[in-house]
Amino acid sequence: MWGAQMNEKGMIMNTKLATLFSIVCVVVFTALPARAESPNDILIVANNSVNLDTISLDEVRAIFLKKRKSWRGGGKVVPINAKMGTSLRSDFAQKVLGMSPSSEKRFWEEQKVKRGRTAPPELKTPLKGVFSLKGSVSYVRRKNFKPGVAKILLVIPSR
Amino acid sequence: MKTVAWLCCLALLVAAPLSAAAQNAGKKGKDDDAAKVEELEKKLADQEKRMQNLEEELKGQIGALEMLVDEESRQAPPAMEPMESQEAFEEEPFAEDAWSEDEFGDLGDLDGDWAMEESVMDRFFNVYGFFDLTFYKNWFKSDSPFLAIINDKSSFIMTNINLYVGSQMTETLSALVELRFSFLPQGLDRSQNVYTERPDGSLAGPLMKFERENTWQREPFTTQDFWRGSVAIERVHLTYTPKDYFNIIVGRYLTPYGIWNIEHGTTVVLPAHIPYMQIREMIPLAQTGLQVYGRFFPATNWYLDYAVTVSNGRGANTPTTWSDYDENKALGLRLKATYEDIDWSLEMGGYGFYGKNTDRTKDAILNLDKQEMRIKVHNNDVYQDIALAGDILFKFHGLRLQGEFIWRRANYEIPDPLETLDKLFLTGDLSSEFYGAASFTGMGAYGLVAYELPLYEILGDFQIIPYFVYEYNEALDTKTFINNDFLFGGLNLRPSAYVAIKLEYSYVMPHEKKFGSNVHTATAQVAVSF
Repeated sequence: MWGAQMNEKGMIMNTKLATLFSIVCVVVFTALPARAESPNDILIVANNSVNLDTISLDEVRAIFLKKRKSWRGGGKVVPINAKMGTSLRSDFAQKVLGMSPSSEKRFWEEQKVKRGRTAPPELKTPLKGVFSLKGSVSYVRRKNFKPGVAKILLVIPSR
Repeated sequence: MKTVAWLCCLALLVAAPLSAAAQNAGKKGKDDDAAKVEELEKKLADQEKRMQNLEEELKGQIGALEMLVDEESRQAPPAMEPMESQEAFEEEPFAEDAWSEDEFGDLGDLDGDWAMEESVMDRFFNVYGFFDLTFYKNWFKSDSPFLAIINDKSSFIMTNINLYVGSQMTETLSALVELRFSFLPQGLDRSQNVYTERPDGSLAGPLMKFERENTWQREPFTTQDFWRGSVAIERVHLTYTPKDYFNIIVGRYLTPYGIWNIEHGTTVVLPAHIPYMQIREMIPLAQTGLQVYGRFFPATNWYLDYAVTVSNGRGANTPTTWSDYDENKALGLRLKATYEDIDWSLEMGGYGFYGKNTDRTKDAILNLDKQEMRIKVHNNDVYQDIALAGDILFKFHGLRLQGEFIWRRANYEIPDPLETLDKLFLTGDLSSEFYGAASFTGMGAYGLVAYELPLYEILGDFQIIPYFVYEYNEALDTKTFINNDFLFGGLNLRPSAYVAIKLEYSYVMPHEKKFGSNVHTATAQVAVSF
């Protein structure tokens, strides 16, 4: 009898602890952001004239490999690359194009021979180009982005 | 009391409607106020929205102004201040890519004096190309007929020196020229001394004389000797690209079929040898006319490509490559579906070609009495040409599986006269009797397997790609002695994006051993793009 009471008490305690733990978990996890923003995130940015709010990774890849020449909603797309050799360009090639920097170089050497097609132009200051050029798209680190200069279409986390 | 009571009742009767009216008036006033408040709130919301838009615009303007200020401040060299610590250096903002440069930057292919308001595609001009050096050695029976056309001694050879000139005149207009320079025809053996062997072993003839091209020239000033080479125009065209789904090429263009014909450069294709279906031109490699092409995006990662070609048609070996001698323009249709993911891709395409090939000679008839001349035209080689091609390319990480297939039918209306050796091999009759080429069917297919070895951790950018190709080719079912099966394999080494080194072994198996033996070839090739 006494043992049964103890078991019952124990069960009640366990239930209470479980409830408390669940509440703590809910509070902690809802308080945390879904993913912490990093200053090294790559932002896909477009000229403010571009009539889109989001873009998929596949579309970005198609645009920067010149497999797509128009925006989804119409209008000529003007891709602008960061300078070859910068860590931004390397990260972009790796995460978006699925290529190493040398593979990307090879890809464009081959495109020149096959189709007479060259890589998108490179700028040392891609964001400046995006600010000025209608229909343009480029990429920039979050830490170097200036709000209002261009619109963010996609965020590629640094990790 | 009664009077008072009556007065009260009367007052109540009068006051009740008045009170109701007053209540109604109050209610109506409240409704009006609510409407006004609502209207004001709406106006306020509009104003807030406008304020937000203005704020956004202002942010943009501030950003632009900051940009200008940054530039101005950079133009005046800042006072040299020692960096306090490594930490401070690391926290230096915009160290790499955003605003750290004082120029808009070198635009690569673009002019440095480039106006941002203009399209980035303006002022684009590019000159580049590729060439290769090949060292090879063939082994075959010493008296094989192949000796007439291929060398049995080891040799260096340079056959591809391709120069590209590209220009992007406007956002939608571009031009491309691809020229192939060659040492040929200098030194090319055109024909052999051809004898017939009598039953007693003695030789009669020659029926044909040995001929070698000699383009020798002497430069008059220095008296230095030199030998002329040649230039082949691979392609030259204007491209108008207004939309993804609608673009036009006008000029001479590579026929948009298959995989090899588009890749075609020795720095791009993996093997050193070319499939026979390319060598035999079962579909013309290039055409002169116009092409409409485009791309649709039916779903994520899917591309649907089409191309319609209208041209003079075949004619790589005749003048019709640049001019047509009949009113029938060749038509072609290319369809291709591509699925492309970051890790793998699959491309499947087909091309259909229909044309009429016409060659002709001209007679000039002079009437000396009337001092007149008239020209009479004779068509001497007319046939309908139908070809169907299919191709498939699968890529998965470093693996590449590639295959092409071509079927061709040529129906002669006026047959081309057989050449001497064809007459000998096909009829055994070397008399002056006319023998014309027969209508024929051709078929060819090849498969390629290649794999880029996963050695990135060890070799870095140095790629090693083993490959293997098998080809079946029966280009003409009426001239079986020219048909071969072809097997080749080797290593494609890529130390950089600009150089490909190929080490290859190939084995040719003629369908008819009577006219040719098996040929083994070892090849080393260096292909360079610049």
